[in-house]
Amino acid sequence: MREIRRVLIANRGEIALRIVRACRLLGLETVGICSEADSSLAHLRLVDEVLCIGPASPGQSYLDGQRILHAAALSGADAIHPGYGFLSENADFAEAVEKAGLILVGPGADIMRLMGDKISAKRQMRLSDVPCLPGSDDALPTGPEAAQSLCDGIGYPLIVKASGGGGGRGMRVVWKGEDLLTAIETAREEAGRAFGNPAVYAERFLQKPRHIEIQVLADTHGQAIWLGARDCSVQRRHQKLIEEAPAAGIPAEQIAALGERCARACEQMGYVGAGTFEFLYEDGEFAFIEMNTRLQVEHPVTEMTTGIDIVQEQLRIAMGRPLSICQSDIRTDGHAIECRINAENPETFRPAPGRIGQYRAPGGPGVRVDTHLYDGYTVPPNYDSLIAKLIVHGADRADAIRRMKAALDELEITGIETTTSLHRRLMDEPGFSSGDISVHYLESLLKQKDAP
Amino acid sequence: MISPETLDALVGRMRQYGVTTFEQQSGGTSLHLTLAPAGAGQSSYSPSSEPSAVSGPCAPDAHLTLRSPELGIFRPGSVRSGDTVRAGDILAFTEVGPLRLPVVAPEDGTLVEILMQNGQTAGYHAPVMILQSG
Repeated sequence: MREIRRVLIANRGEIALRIVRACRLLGLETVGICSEADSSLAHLRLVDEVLCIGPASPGQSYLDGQRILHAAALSGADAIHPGYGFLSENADFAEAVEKAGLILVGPGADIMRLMGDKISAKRQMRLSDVPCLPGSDDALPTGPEAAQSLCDGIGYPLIVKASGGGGGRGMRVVWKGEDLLTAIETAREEAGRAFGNPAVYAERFLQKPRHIEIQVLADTHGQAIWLGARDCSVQRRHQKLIEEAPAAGIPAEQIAALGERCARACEQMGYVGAGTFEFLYEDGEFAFIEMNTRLQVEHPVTEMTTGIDIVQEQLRIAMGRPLSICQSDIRTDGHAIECRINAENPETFRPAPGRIGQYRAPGGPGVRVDTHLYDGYTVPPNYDSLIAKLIVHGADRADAIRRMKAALDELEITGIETTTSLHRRLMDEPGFSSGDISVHYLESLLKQKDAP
Repeated sequence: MISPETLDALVGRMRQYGVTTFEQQSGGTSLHLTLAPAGAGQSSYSPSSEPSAVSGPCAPDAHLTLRSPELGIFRPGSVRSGDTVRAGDILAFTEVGPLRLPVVAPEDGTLVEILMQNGQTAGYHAPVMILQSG
């Protein structure tokens, strides 16, 4: 068992606060780091030590692994929790943390590399019988004729994706065979420039898929469990806005079969920590997109429906303890929805940083708010615009939607623009209420509203 | 031979830590780098002083807060509260691993207070000394 006494939180905002809370419940000491623009962050009031590590620019603060390791050494931290974003999926950082003799709360560098490369991730999934889209299992051959015949075999439409890409970047949809070679060429060039790796692969393109994902936890003793599914189909430009658990309308047995495969895949690759397998779901079938080797923004909807504190479990796993729950203990109870409240204009989505006048949180049974906001807090312009996650838990989906409407009506954030009103409108949309919407739903809805 | 990439990285590090000259001899080659002063705001390193809010920046007896140039360990020099200092004097260092980054008096004046103990951790731009100018 590896002893952890003092955890450095290498993140900011709501997730830093979420991690501090979990550490305090486990009796762990905490070190908060911040950039010069962030000295008023809410979690810094709760930590045992605060260190300002650099200027506002993320490249010289939250993304600078050397400064974070230096802060860990100066503060005597023995573990680092990376949260999400920033360095959370950076294999080089994970390796540097290991080399410094510290514990990173998350999987090792080799697993991050394996899952970070989409081709090697897909190969690993096939090994564990996790469903994947038909496609080239390897990088597309450089010879045009070989690539053409391989892709003609997959069928159109197909999508050419960068092996090193992610989050919707480095992709080209090809509708007809004759457009293939130009698409491959541009995708390669883009991928080489953006990710330093020109390898691209191709797979069948789904036209109206839902985004469904499976949350897993795996310990250092070779055990893995899955904690149910989430539906994150309400997206704009590949950014999720609303997430729910469980996935409405998909038979529980089908989710369970998928969840089992994900858990077995974790055991086979030696995965450690919390993780998420992301899938597209269309015509009753799942297809693997990517694995996120970290805590996710939307983890609370799983916590609400299973009653499991995922962040505490992450920390226990990092200490080398076996999972405190087994698969047969997991129950999914009711329905949870999360709305991401961003500091953005609700129509143009332009970031709207600035000083908050008043912040009033909604409450009542089944309402949870994960946020670092308080009266007078200034949202700096340098970082992600997520300022709060409003989460509700109801007996079923209709009940959860009712609670979300009431909670959104009650939420008050003055002084800056937020996406609250957009969420309130969406809760009344018949498409959203039906629960059966694709990842393109929000964008086409917004287009309709824009049309005169 | 030193590659352009290494040179870039080296200059980046020098800028980051406020180092202005660098010399290296290895085998038959020698390298000497002298950097022009970085423009204000270009570098993360700055001479780390700003007038305190109490008196205006132009007041003759303004109190200046001297700040740590980086996250590191504070090492005061030989100066004590009440000592007279000259512009350009090195009053303390912040240790960043093997590097010692100076805390420099921006003006002539009198040292009012040393805000940190020897060996204490100083955050990036944390106040370390108060100077009364004039």
